Formats: sequence, C-alpha cells, structure tokens
Amino acid sequence: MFWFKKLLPRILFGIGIALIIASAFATQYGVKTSSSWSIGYNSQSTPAILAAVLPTGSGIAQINITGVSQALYLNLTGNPLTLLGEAGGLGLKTVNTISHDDFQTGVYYLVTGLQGNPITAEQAFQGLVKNAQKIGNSYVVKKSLNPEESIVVLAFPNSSTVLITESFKVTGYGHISLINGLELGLALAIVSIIIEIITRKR
Amino acid sequence: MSLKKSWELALIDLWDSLRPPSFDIMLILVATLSGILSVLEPVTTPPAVGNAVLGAVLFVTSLYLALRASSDLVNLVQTGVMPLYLTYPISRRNISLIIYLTRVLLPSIILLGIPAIVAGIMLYPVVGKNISEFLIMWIAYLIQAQLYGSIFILASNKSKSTGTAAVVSITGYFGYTATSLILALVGSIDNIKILTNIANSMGLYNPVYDILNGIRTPTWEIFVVPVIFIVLFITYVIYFTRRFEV
Amino acid sequence: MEDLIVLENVTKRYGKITALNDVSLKVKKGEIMAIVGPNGAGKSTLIKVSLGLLRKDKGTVLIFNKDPFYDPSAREKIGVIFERPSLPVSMPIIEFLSHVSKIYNKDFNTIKEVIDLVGLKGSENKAFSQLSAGQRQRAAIAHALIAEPEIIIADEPTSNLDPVERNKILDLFLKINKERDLTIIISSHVLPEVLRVSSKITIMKSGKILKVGEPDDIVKNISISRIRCKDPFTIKDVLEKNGFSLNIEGGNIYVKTEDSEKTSKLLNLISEIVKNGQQIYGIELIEPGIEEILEG
Repeated sequence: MFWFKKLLPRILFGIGIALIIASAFATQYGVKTSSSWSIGYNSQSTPAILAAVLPTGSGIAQINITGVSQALYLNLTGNPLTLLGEAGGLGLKTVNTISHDDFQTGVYYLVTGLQGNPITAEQAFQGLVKNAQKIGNSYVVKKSLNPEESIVVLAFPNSSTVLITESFKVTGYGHISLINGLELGLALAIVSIIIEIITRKR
Repeated sequence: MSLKKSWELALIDLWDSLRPPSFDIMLILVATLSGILSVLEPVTTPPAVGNAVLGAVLFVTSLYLALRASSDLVNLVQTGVMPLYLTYPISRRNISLIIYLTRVLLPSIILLGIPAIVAGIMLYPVVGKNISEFLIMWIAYLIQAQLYGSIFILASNKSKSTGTAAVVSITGYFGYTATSLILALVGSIDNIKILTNIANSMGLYNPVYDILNGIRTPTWEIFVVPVIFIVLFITYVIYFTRRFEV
Repeated sequence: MEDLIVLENVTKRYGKITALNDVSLKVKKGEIMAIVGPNGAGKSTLIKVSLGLLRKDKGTVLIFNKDPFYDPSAREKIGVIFERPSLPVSMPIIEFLSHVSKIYNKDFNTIKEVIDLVGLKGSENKAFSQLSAGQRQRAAIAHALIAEPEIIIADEPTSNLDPVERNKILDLFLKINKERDLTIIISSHVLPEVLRVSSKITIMKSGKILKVGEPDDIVKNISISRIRCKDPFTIKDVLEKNGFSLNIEGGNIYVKTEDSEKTSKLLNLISEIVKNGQQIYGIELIEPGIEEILEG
C-alpha cells in the first residue's frame, strides 16, 4: 500500500490548508446570522402592496408594516415569485418592485405594488391568508421558517407612504470557530508532514 | 486470483493517475473552495450544505477529470504503457474497469470527498443534524460526476488523440449542462412543466435535494442520471473489451 | 518441436490500408525468430496482432493454442518489450516490478534475479524517467522476464540505442535464450544486427512475409564488399567489364557477390587493380541488407 501511504499525507495536508483558509475567511467575510432592511414605499398609485422575505435557510422572519389599513400574510413553500405570475393571471399587475439581496444572511427581501382591483387581490388570496397582528400603528408578522419556505404579506395602504421593515434571523446554522479551525488545520498539516517524513525515511 | 492481479495493476495505474503536483493542487483548490463556500451563505440543513458546496466542486472536478482523461489516457496509449497493461494476463474487461476506477471513480471520490469532509468539519453543527442526508447528497453528486467521467473516458478511448478527446469531453460536458439550462429556462418561461422536470432530472442532486426537503418530485427524475451513466459506462466497457486497439 | 505461436492467414487492415496481408507464421519452442523488414513492412502490426493488442480482420492467431485477444491466460507466459521502452515514468523500478511480480504470482527473489541478470543492480530504486536509454531497455527486459516467460516478444528493442548498447542488449537476449531456454521473437529493420543472434529469420515487406528460413538459408552466400578507393569511377568500369554488379554510395563502391567463387574472383581482380597503380584504401566484406537479400 505504498501509494496509500503517499496519498494519505497529501489528503491530510489539503484538508488542513483548506480549514485554515476557510476559518480565516469565515471570520472576515463569513455568514451573518441576522439582517434587516427598511423602505418607505410610495403607495399613491398602488391599492395593494406585497412584501416578502425569501430566505435560503431556516430562521425567523419578521415584517413590520406601518401606514396600511389591513395586512394579511401567508407561508409559502417553493418559489413565492411564482405567486406574482399567478396574480397577473387574475388581472393584478405588479409595479415598482424593489428588492434587496443579503447574500451573507442568505435572504432576499422584496416589496412590490399590486395594481388592479384590491378586492380581487383580497379574494385571490382568501382562504390562504391569515390576519397580521396589529401592534400600535403597525402590523407585524413574525414567523419561523423552514428551508424552502418564505413569508408573504399582502397589505392595503391608507397613506401615501408605507413604511416596511423586513428582518431575518438565521437559526440552525453554526460553523467551526476561528481558533478551532486554525488549530485543527495546523494539526492536520503537521501530522501530514510527519507522516511524509517517516515514509521517506523508510 | 484474477481480482488480485487486477488490484496490482490498479495500484500501478493509480501511481500515475494521482501523481503530484497537479492532483495535489486540485485537492487543495477544491478543499479550500468548499471551505469558503460553506461559510459564505447560511445553509441550515445537511442537503443544503451539500448543494452549496458540492455544486461548484463538481464543476471543477468535472473539468479536471475531462482534461486528465484526455491527456493522461491518450498519453498512456501513445507512450506504450497501455499496450503494456494489455500484455498482462488480465482480461480486457477487468482492465477497462481498472482504468475507470483509477482515472474516474477514485479521483472523483477524492475530489468530491475531501471537500465534503472539509464542509462537514466547517459546518459540523449543521451537518451533524443528519449525516445520512448529507451523505445521500454527496452520493448524488458522485453519480453525476460518474456520468461526466464516462463521457470523458469514452471520448479519449475512442479518439486516442489528446486534442480531439479534450474537445469532445468539454463539448459533451457543456452541451449537457447547457441543454439542462435551456430546458429549465424554456420550461419556466412558457410554463411547460415537463421541460422543467427534465431539466431538473439532468442533475441528480436536484430531485434528491427536493425529496430530502419534502418537495413533491416525480419519481422518474431520480433515475435519469443513473440510467444515462449506466448506458455510457456499459458502452465504454464493451468498446474497450471488443474494439479498443493500441 | 511444438509451435508456441501460430498465425494462419492473418489479415489486418487500418481503413483502406492492409497492414498484414494473409500472413502465416509458426514459431517453435526455443527458437530466436527475427522478423526483419523495412519501416512499414508490418512487423509491429504482426507483433501486436500476435499479442492480442490489435484485432485481426481475418485468420487465426494462437499463442499456446489460445486466442490472446479474448483469452488473457494466453499471455500468462509471455514477456513483451516494445520499441520505446515504456514503463510508468515516475514509479521506482523496484516498486513497479514488485507490483508486476504479484500479477504473475512471483516472489521478491524473482525481481532480484532479473535485476541481476539484466545488469540493473544499483539503479533499481530510480524512477524509469531517471534511467539512460540503455538502462531503460534493460528495465524493460527485466519487466519482461518477471513472468518467467516461455516466450519473449521484442519489437525493435535496439532501435533507440547506440551501437555498443545494441550489441550488449542482443548479447543479453542470446544469454537469456541459452540460460532459460526461452523462445524469443525480435523484430528489426536491420538484418545484419539480428543475423548473429537469430536461429530463424522472417523477412517482411508491405504486409507480406516474403521469406522464412534459417540465417544461412536466407543470406546464402551473398556478401557485399565495400571498397574504399581514390578513384571509384575508374575501378567501377573495370569491375563492370568483368561482370560484377555494383553501385557507388558516398564515394564507396558496393559490390554484391552471390557465391564464394565470385567473391574470390573479385578479390583477385582488386589485387590486379592495385598492381596497376590504382589506390585502394581498404576493402571490407559486410553482411547483406534486406534489399540485397530480396534481390538475390
């Protein structure tokens, strides 16, 4: 098994180097576990507004909306953007779509206006939706999401500007700490060098 | 006895197949790539870790396999090492399996396996939730790599020319992935479900990921890649056994 | 004696080119069979078809009464040496031979024996790429001997070597043949080179076997005299008037004689020419080449 003795240190060395680089990278540019995004949305020509939080992983999503008379929400599995296409089929048109992508938190925030008959919009989502909780002047939706799930809020403005704050907190994620990663990486690299030296001496 | 002979030949060929430094450079590259990818976005389930890390690694591994198959395998023939192998008292079928093992299967196991180990260590709190799901995703990627690998090995055996083999291999790989992309795009734009399904099925990791995440997927999608791979693999073995000349 | 290798009416085509045309050949146990022919004669194709590396389009190929293309056990007792010695480049010779010995179920002593026999002691830990051309050929011979074969097939084993190494390698073949009673097939495009080592010669051209026989039968009494002189054209006229067929190449006169009487007559005539004042620097009798044999 001469080849294997040769291969083993190479593999250990590769893993060691990768752990050192990845741990250092994670500290500088790695995942953020929470993020939020706020926008003042001009709702003068839009009878309804759709706000969505689309994460890639699991976590707790929260949407706060101020300046609306009613807010309904629904949980979706799969790609919620297809919902917009289906809304189009009901005579509803999406306008003035604004989005924000936070790659490090793995979440995509979206706000879009819906033009058309607001009653149609309400009817279109009826049966699927639940009423959002009202806290003070704001409607608040806070939901725990599994991977491949997203949350969509349908709101009906009663002022010219609607203030929307969307946030997401990642749950179920964790990675090796910088110090553990460096220690393990270094240990593997050293072990691989020792094995290589012993093999060569033999 | 025949197995023992074949194993010895496999050890000889592995020496060449895994020789430094190109293999080591690739090993460090894919391992580091997977380490970085694993901490770039918050993946919270083992199958998602598999997808986040192994997708890019599969791309790099496939290119490596294509280039090594076209240059090394053709070199084996041109330098007379392959004729030497064929003079041993080992059946052609076994030699074809050895070449597949040393030139496709083992390199892809290592080049996909080491990144998976790195990702597993980096994200141990996530992967540790369900290691078997992570393994299933890894196997899906490994089978996908076998599909590409069998295209490459068939091309280099048939052409016996480095240039032709490289062109056919790379064209085959990008042709396959481009077809899947176009089908997905057309299926999505025109809302043609079957095209979306076919595109999905062309990457085994897609239906496997969907099933692991409880997303409804037609069962046939799982069989597309393995069936194409088996057909290509059998074609390669038959070609090598009956028609391959050096 | 039993025929170890039998080819009957074998034809091999590469597209429209016929590399072997209805070739039949038998090699008996203990023979050193030289396959001689110019480049493109079909020697390598014949060897590759015999080993089962190439498919035949027609005919029968049997080694130890088995078809080597389909039956790997036919290759159990064969050692092969190719024109360009081709072992895995980066692997130490000893490591490589160790794996090969296991393929043939031989122990480590066999490796030591063959390394000693081919004169590779001291270089066995080097990688193949670190060896000189002569050492590479010796390593290839050692590799061929690991199987303790009954037949060695060598395709132009000396073509990449200098004259001194060529002779050493050919002597090694003779030694192996005598010590181990091996059947050896050597291909070459240089007839004189194999004349002294072979017990049988097959002459090939354009994919066909033209002659098969023992060296003396093949060469008969044909000899070539190379005359180095100051004025080849004057001497040429004298020789031609006396009925000798000759040609001039590189300032030397090459005269072909078919029997000893004619060779004697030529030497007498040369003596007369010298007496008449022509300056001759030297005269050598050399073995005929393939072309002379075929013409003769």
